[in-house]
Amino acid sequence: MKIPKENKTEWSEYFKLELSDVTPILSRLGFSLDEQQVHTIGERFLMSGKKLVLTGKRISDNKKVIIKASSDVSGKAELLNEHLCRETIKKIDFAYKPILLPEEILFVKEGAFVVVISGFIEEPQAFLAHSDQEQFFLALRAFEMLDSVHSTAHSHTKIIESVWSNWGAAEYLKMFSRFSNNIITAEPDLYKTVSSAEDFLKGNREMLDRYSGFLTHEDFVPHNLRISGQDVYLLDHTALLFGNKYESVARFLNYLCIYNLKLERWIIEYIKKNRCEEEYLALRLMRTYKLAELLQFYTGSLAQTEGNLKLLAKERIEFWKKVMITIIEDKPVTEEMVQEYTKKRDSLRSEDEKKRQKEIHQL
Amino acid sequence: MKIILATPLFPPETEEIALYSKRFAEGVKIASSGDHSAAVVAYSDFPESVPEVEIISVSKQLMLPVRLVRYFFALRKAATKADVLYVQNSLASGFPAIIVRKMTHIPVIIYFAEDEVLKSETRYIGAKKTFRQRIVFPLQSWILRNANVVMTPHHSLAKSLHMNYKIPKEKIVVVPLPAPQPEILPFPSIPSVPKIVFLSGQAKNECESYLDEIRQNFPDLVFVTLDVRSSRAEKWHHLKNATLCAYAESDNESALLPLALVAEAPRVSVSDEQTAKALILKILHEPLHRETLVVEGRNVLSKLSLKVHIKTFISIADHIR
Repeated sequence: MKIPKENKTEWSEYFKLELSDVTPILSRLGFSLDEQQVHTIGERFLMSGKKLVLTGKRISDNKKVIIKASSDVSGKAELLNEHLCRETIKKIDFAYKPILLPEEILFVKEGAFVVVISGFIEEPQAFLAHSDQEQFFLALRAFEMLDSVHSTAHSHTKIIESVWSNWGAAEYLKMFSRFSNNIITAEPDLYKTVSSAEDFLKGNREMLDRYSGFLTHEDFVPHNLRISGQDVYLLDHTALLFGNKYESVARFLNYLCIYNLKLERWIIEYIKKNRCEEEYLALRLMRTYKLAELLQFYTGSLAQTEGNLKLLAKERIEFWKKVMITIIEDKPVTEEMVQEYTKKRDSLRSEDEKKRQKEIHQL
Repeated sequence: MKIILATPLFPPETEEIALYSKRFAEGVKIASSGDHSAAVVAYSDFPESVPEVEIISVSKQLMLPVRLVRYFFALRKAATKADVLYVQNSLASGFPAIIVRKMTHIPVIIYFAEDEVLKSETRYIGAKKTFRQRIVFPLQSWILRNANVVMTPHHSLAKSLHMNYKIPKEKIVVVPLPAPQPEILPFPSIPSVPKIVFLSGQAKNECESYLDEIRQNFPDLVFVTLDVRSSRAEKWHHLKNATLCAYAESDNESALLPLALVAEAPRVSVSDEQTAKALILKILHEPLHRETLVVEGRNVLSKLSLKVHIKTFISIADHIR
């Protein structure tokens, strides 16, 4: 199976072939697929992961499920890792809050495929459809759930080491260096901004270490959360890792800049007023780190895109660069910055991508 | 007086004992107007800093015997310049502290905030105990018996200390935990609505049979259940707006109980159905009765400040020196 890397057509061909191969396997296992598969359209081809993410049902009881399948070596490894993450989370005995993950219904190696099927958590209202105050409390619930798993002792390391390493300053700085090289190679104009970000991180490496050892989710965004009553379930378990406790918060706040700037400000204010100064600094450091990750992604996408999508990537790079500067300077992201960007983004987005965004945010 | 606070946990760890240790260390100088000071000996790799407080850390990544020995030496060194060791109950801090006491005669006060050992003991009833379980309880008992004073936040724990660990009553002092720090929310509180806040799922279960009846009498009443999954901000927010807080007897030793005091709202034990139902209805029907209980709540709260807590500790320490 040729793996799509370069462009949308290849992704589309890959998806069709992979889907036709996996469908009979799923039928044999007792699952059917939904007609519409929104996790495969729009800009999905730019995302990492050589795997299919599908929605479907268990035939026996019509239970809604999420199916992930791959026949690719790295895709299979990712799914195996997801399975191991879930199994290891169950073994953690040092958490003082329950970690809520959707149940794994099936993990199977069938023919050339690895298939992971998990329960779909029904949510009457998506995260962003809740009131601002509800979103605030739900987000804090989820952050404190992650914070309750803090690997500090030798015995904790023994439990998690088969699946996760513990990211501290050395690992974050090494990865930042990789982001930095890739960004500057693709967009030399970003040299000054990225260099000052690197100096900011290096100058405060103690804070990166101090708040390490926590369970964190590197892609903590609303579409990776499911809200059931007051419970917050985490999705995408391959994004779980042990690292800085502000990695999840940082990713979330960067996301909120575009989708709910008021909530972004509330969470910042809450941390400033209720946690120590060092924690707030750790948050700014992790936001800077996560912004470099975003910049790497969008500068990397320049070579794979053309037309409006390329122009959109350039707008995104410009916007996130401005956000990075404001975070380093400890200034607020302004409404004007966001409005200017979202206006341009909406005029450049394809209809398919608008549909995909609508589905993942359930707006 | 120089106090050495010996703790197994310290921020950035987020457990209550860690947060309490930092608040206590921060508060000593302020509460005593500079007359007393504190230093901390903690198991931690990257402890948070506290202005004007020395934090001596021992890595938790070391093997257990090695870190115990390192902790002992750190504590012994710190004790040479101190007047009292204040130990947050745990084998990891308590055992080295008692050895230091035996060697240097420095007084040791243990704060026994919860009984982890007994909880773990009861978990294993009927099962074959491991070597570790067989030694943990006697060791805990030995540590407690060798302290000068054992402070505990609840009368029920005081009773357990006497019954299960054979600690003489005169060595046990009940000192409630200080009320938690306020959570400053970034938005004004939602306008107050009549609200019963259950301090646990158990509390809600215990009055499930008559909740419908209450709801019929007070259709606007909102029920909120707090539990281990609730965030600190969420607990604070709901408790601040509570009409009354309902708790089960089994919540008695829970960290939520002092938090409930923050609310100033009347607290009702719901374990006895008839009494609880009558009391809840009375509070909801009679605002004046509720107001009287709120005033009582405020009085209790004023005695639970961190300053009062530290001053109580200092007077106990002065007494045994």
